[in-house]
Amino acid sequence: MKEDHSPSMATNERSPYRLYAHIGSPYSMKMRAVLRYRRIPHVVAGRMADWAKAFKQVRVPVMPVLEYPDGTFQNDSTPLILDLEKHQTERSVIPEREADAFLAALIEDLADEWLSKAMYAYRWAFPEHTKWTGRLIAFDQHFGGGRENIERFGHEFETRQVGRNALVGCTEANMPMLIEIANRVLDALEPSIPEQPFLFGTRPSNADFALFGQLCQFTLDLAAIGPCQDRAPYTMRWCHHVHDLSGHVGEWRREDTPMSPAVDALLGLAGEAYLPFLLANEAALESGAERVRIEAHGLAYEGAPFKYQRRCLEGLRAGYAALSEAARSHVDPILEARDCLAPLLSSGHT
Amino acid sequence: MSTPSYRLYGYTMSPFSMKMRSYLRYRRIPFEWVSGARANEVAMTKVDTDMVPVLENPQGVFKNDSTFLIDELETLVLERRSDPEDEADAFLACLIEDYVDEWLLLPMFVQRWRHEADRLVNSNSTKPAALKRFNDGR
Repeated sequence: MKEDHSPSMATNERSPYRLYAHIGSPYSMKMRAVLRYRRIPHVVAGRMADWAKAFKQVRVPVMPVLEYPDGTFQNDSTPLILDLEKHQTERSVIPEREADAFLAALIEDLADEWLSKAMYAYRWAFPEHTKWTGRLIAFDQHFGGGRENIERFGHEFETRQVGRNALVGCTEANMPMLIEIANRVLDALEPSIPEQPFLFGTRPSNADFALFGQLCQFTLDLAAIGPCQDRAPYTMRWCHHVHDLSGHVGEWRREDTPMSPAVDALLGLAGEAYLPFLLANEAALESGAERVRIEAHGLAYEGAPFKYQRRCLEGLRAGYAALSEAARSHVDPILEARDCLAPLLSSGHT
Repeated sequence: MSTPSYRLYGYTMSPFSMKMRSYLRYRRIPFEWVSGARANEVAMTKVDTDMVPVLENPQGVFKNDSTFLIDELETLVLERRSDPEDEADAFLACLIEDYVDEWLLLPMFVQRWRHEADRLVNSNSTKPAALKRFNDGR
């Protein structure tokens, strides 16, 4: 099959953005949903054969990569979303109130860096499913490539990803914690979603899209489908809506509108587990320790430290430090109540 | 910002809505996807047959019936057409489209609703706990 790389769309004069992405990539689905909601014309290049060109243009070759209409390339969904805000102001995904924007950034980070661990566990830590998981992702990446190729690539991919389990903290000992992360996020969202589908008003934010990116994988991955559908049927169905919100119109919450209980529950998860993990990660990198260990929810997590996640903590602290006095007066009591404030104040010595 | 010219009103659980949405995306025809209560309202008030999907064109005209809508878009937009260019293949594609729309539709309904009936009857056997809660709440 040929991918059409013609620069113009049939009914649109401007070159569209091109998103190099695939269905099994949570950050790809996060970006695609943002582009659709924001009504930014784009085409999706979904097959591996199309990606080589894009990977040569970015520092770290990870999905998704966005090719801009001017032919430049960028990746990493969080800064990409912020960059698109500069190019187009309509249908922003950053909450308009400064305090809410900070909380949204914190929840986006929680989804991208902590819920993602549960996603990986459901995908690669259930040996009875990994053969087909590998094949199905290979099917996506080599769409139309033929069964023999798909099964060969699927096996190679499965071997590589399962081999990375220990590196990314997806170990047998961590499994209770990893599944608990998924359960707590689902439990945080499920009661709220039928009442109020988004966290910061009646329109979606970067935090909603980040949660969606990870959660929509639970609608695909064989080990996750059953338990997640059983635990949080409305949240699973919500994912199918967030895939395309191009026709959705809503408003940010007003100051006198109560905060969604889901925000409070997610901040509770950040204060109890994610931020302590980021602090432990930072401490391990500073001391040269080879392992990061935390206990939360009565469960243990142990894994290798990552520099990327130290940058996440630094980014959150910088975001907090940049808040106006007025915004701090709003977020401080909320953060304090959920043990999120202290980790954001200092550099690893709280 | 480019304002989409078309609006598609439908539901994710409507097979013809998913057929149309996928078609519009493949054809790179800019559109907004509108679901929920508004989609129902449009189907009730803007077309004769009260069925989704409904397509609103750039002139504000509302039409439904996916096969008819696709045939019209094939003549209006010429790039990335989905009709096979070979005349014989186009006829076969038309026949298969009809078979799917009218005949595969029946097992789709069976799969969707028979199982729910089964769950209502077999309340303590295989049904997921969440679905049990739904049914018990009725």
